[in-house]
Amino acid sequence: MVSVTLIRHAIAEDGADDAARPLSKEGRRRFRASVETLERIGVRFTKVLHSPKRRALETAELLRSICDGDFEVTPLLTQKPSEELLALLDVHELAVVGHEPHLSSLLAWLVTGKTALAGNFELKKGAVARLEGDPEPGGMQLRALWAPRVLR
Amino acid sequence: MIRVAPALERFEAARAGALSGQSVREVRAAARRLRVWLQLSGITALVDDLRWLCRETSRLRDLELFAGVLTNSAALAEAERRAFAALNSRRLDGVIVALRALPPLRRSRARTRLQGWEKSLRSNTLKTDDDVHALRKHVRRVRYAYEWLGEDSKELRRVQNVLGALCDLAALSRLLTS
Repeated sequence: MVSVTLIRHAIAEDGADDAARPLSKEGRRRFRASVETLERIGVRFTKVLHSPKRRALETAELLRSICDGDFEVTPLLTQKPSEELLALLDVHELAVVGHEPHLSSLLAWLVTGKTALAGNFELKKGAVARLEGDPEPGGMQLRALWAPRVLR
Repeated sequence: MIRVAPALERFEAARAGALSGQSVREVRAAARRLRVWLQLSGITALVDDLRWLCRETSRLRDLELFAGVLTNSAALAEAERRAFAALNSRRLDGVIVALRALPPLRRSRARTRLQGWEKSLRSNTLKTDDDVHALRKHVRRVRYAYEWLGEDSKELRRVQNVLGALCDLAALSRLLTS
């Protein structure tokens, strides 16, 4: 049994090159406040898995103060969730920083076994979902789903 | 501004070369240059991925280095399997995508970081083999930073080569023991 925390990237600037969009100043400020709250309530990670897109990388970097282990980049977080991605989730206290709509699909898949139920698990930018269980379809329980304003 | 793109192209060419049977030495050196660019930028996220690549290819590098004196086909096959898995990984694909998306490094920022590294380089003391290894890595990092800034790094390269020879002897000792 492991604990996995799914995090949608913070608010980013607009831009023509989607992969190169940085976090906005406000997005950075707000997510930094969220990380401080996570730290206050004792959340720590042993590893951060993140998408290669700049806004996800910059969001992941803000988690550095509450991560005791390595960061790993994977392009699998820019695609529909796959078995290959699930194999990377078998790490206790793992943080996963990605994008919509794939992150909600992953959440629905892990909790219900069905990606089609993703619409029931809306993740706003900077939202955090804590899961526990076995990282397989329908194998995890949703322990908390924090909207960004709750964490600030 | 210092763009990462040319070094990234060299890294991709070295990766392809290693996968087609050339030495892993070039891809490891290219990965370390990228790591220094990230460190000069103050970006920590992809540093772990590039460090992982160097770790996964280190055994093969040691065996390549001492191919004339050591022959252990089982160890070589295992080292190649491990290195090729890393070189072929999606993780490495992700590193390349992520690096392409990053903005150029500001020269002033790089200089400020380099000054800090140079200061700590001068305060090194050498008592054990580990100290020599740490100094070698430190010298290499400063040398690559010089390269990124377009400054003369010949003297540091000479120092790095001497320290490298000492570290290679330690690596040979480890291999013989194992």
